[in-house]
Amino acid sequence: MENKFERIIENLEEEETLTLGDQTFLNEMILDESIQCSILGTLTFFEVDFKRVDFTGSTFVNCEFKNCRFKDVILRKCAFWNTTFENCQIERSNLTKANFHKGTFRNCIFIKANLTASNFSEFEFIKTKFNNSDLDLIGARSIKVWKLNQCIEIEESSNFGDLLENRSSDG
Amino acid sequence: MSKMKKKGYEVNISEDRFLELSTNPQTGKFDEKSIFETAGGLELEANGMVNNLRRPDNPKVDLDFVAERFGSGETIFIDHKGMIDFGSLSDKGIDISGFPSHESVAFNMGKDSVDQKGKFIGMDQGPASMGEVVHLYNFENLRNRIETPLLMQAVLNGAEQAGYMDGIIFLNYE
Repeated sequence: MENKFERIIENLEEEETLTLGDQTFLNEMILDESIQCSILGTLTFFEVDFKRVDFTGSTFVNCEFKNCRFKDVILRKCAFWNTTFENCQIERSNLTKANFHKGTFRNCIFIKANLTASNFSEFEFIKTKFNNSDLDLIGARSIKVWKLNQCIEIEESSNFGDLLENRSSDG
Repeated sequence: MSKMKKKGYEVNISEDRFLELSTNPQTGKFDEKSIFETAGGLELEANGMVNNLRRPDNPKVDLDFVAERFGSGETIFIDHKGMIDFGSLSDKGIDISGFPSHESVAFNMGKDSVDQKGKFIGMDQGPASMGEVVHLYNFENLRNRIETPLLMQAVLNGAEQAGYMDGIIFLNYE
């Protein structure tokens, strides 16, 4: 396993913010890193495991996460633009006050994740489940939630978590 | 702190208070993001807009600071928003042509802030109304200063579209 992403982090100067784009990371494991306030654009992560990584306040633009696992990852106050997650597992992770704009969660599962006070706009949830996750105070605007080929469209909601919980049980 | 002194602000803060303000109430640690928020909050205090800046007592009230408005003494809750600059990516030769414009980002920040103002109303030691929640837009990281007026207007346009334009403060826009 090469762990190209970890090597990039390790090569950062002291107090340098991670700014990275146009790269693909395949089959890597990223452990115990703090890369707050990073700017990450047009990155693809395929089969990457993130464990105890702190991305607080980072911005992701046009990124793709496929078959990735997030465990004890901090995505608090992150901004996601045109970013998609497919077949990802997000476990015991902190997504409080994260902002998601134009993107998708497809076939993802959240386990004991905290999404309190996060915000979603122009976003799609496709066959995505939430198990024992904190979904309070989630704001939503122009959202589609797909389950078993049925789609619910939400124009605006300040309590979107209730709907996610109800819709995700057997999707 | 040295940045604030360069801007001409009188900064008189003990190391203990700076550490206390920079401690992320959610994690109990101080980190890069919390330090950036603290610098923004202290600028408000240094330019005489608020007094007694502190972190909210109830960590469930997930707004960055609570303070008293200078003059009226009214309690306000402050949420700090840093404007992103994608120029740092293009500097590295990364193609940002498919990225949202800074204007679009600012518009959405303004629009989303209206919903965010209402989230913590009624919580123990939280704001009693939207009027007590202020969003502080900090343009510190924006390098092309020519963009700033356009982005300030975009924030206001977003808030207007969401139906509530009060409680917006801009920082480092000159």
